[in-house]
Parts: sequence; C-alpha cells; structure tokens
Amino acid sequence: MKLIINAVAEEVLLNISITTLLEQRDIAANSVAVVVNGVITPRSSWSTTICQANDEIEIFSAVAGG
Amino acid sequence: MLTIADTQFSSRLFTGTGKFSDADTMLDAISASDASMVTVAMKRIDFTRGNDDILKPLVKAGCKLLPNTSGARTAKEAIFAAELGREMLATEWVKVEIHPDPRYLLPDPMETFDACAELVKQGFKVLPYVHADPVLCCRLQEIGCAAVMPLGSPIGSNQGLASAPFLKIIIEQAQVPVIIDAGIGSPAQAMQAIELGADAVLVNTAIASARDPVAMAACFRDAVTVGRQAFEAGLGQVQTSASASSPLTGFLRAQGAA
Repeated sequence: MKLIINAVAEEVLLNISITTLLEQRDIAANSVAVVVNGVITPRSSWSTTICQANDEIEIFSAVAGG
Repeated sequence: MLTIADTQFSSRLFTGTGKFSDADTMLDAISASDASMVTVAMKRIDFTRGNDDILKPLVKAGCKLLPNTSGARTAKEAIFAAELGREMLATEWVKVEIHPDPRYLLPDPMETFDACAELVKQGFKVLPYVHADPVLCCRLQEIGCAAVMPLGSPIGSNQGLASAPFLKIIIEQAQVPVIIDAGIGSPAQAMQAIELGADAVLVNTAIASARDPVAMAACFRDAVTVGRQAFEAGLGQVQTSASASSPLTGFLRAQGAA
C-alpha cells in the first residue's frame, strides 16, 4: 500500500506499525516524534498504530538551532 | 544559583547548537562554554539527505535540552512544535519563538502571547523569545511564563545590546528570570548583559561563527562569570558630573586661602 512519508510517496507492506516503519529506516525510537495525518502520535502507541493506505506520516527529529 | 521554574542551573550561559561547521566543533564548544542548557530545533527528516543525529551526543554530554519552535509563524504552529518537542525529548520545557519576518526575524508579540498562554495552560515551562518590550514581558510573566527572553538585537546580527535601555526596565520589573537572547556578538556584550542584572544569556552565532568557536566559547564562559561577580559586587552609580576620587583642597593652598 502507499503511504506519504515526509511528503514522499512510498510503497510499504500492509499492516505495518509505526514501530516497524521506524525500524526499517534505522531510526532510533527515542530521537523522533511522529505525526500521523496531522496528529502527534505518542511513543507509547507506536507499536499498536497500524498505518492505513494513503496515511500521511511525518517524522521529525532534532536539528541544530539557536 | 540561577533557578528557572523548578530547576537550578550551574551556569548563566546558555548556547544554541546552530551554525557550527561540524558536530564535533559544536560539542567541543558547548563543553568549553560550560553551558547549562542548549537549544535545539526540530525538522522533518529529509530521507534523501540522511539524518544527522545530533541528539545522542548532546544527551551523552549531559546537556539539558531546550527545544525551540523555530519555523513557526503562528501561535498554532508554535503550540504544535512545542508538543512535538515534548514528545520527542520528553521535556515540558520550550523556547517559544515565532518570527514570521525572515529579514529581521523579529518576534511576533501577539502570536507569541497567545501561544504562551495556551502552553502554560498545558503545563509547559515556557520561555518566550520576545522583543525588549517591558509591557509584554510583564504580561508574559503574569500568565505564568517561567522566564522571558528579550532580544539584544536581531538574531545572528552580533550587534550587541541595542535594546539596553529597555532591557534595564525589563530586569527591574521582572519577577521571573530574564535571559537576554539574540544579538550578543562578543564576550564583552554578554558580560554587560549580566552586569545589567540579566539572569542569563543565550549565545549561538557569536560562538559558532568565531574563527575558533571552542576558544570563543571559553571566553563567553569567563565573561558571564565575571559579569555576575561584578553584578553581585554592586556597580557604582553613573553620574553626569564629575566626582573627585582624590582630595581637591588643602594640598597646594590652604582651604579658604585666596
């Protein structure tokens, strides 16, 4: 199925969770925040949040700033 | 010791993490500065360019992190950014900065106030970046901000304390810590801010853009330390007329002599 991940369309397996999505990208869970369709998804529910086709997933990380 | 909200800080120097040439220089400079809190921004990861994890080394170095809301143009966006920071970094601390104008990056007072009011309600420790506006700083203090962060001059400009007369009023009226943020371009200017009675300064560009950022960070550390010592020692009053330091009478001629 198709997801929009940080504004880029990607094909992923069905029934993929946020946790798996991050693991596939080698993203450390404690370094990012995840937004699904405009709503911040708490880390505690990543493993049970199953992506749906055409979901817009945004993954934020900390960057240098003043 | 400086206390903001419920937290004590061993240093009155905070630093940003932006504009350094590389991560190692940034970490070495932060270490040399003895900064007790450092700011970070947040951004969507660009998977085409890779993701430099600046978080891990900062956490490993024991830095207290202050996420900012840079990039937000409205109160709504800043609130969203604050919530992102809380989720990402497990902190309720946030530096609210809302500056829609890219040329001068001056903070929008209306949006900033609205964002702070909501974030305080949500339990955040809110540190707003604002113009050197004493009335606004009082209002932000009244609604429960943990500190105020008035600017010395525009972000990254190195112009120093162009707002000094208004910073003095803010410091005089403040019931919460005053952190001078933005525009401080030299250790002397940081020292001046602390001598004025500011509780802390936040410095980024002046350190990151120095020829030797690590050495400059140490200079800022020392300047802030000395500035605080001078403030605590109590500066003499500024007067318009002279006040003799040596006796003017009874030396070349007796007092009252023609």
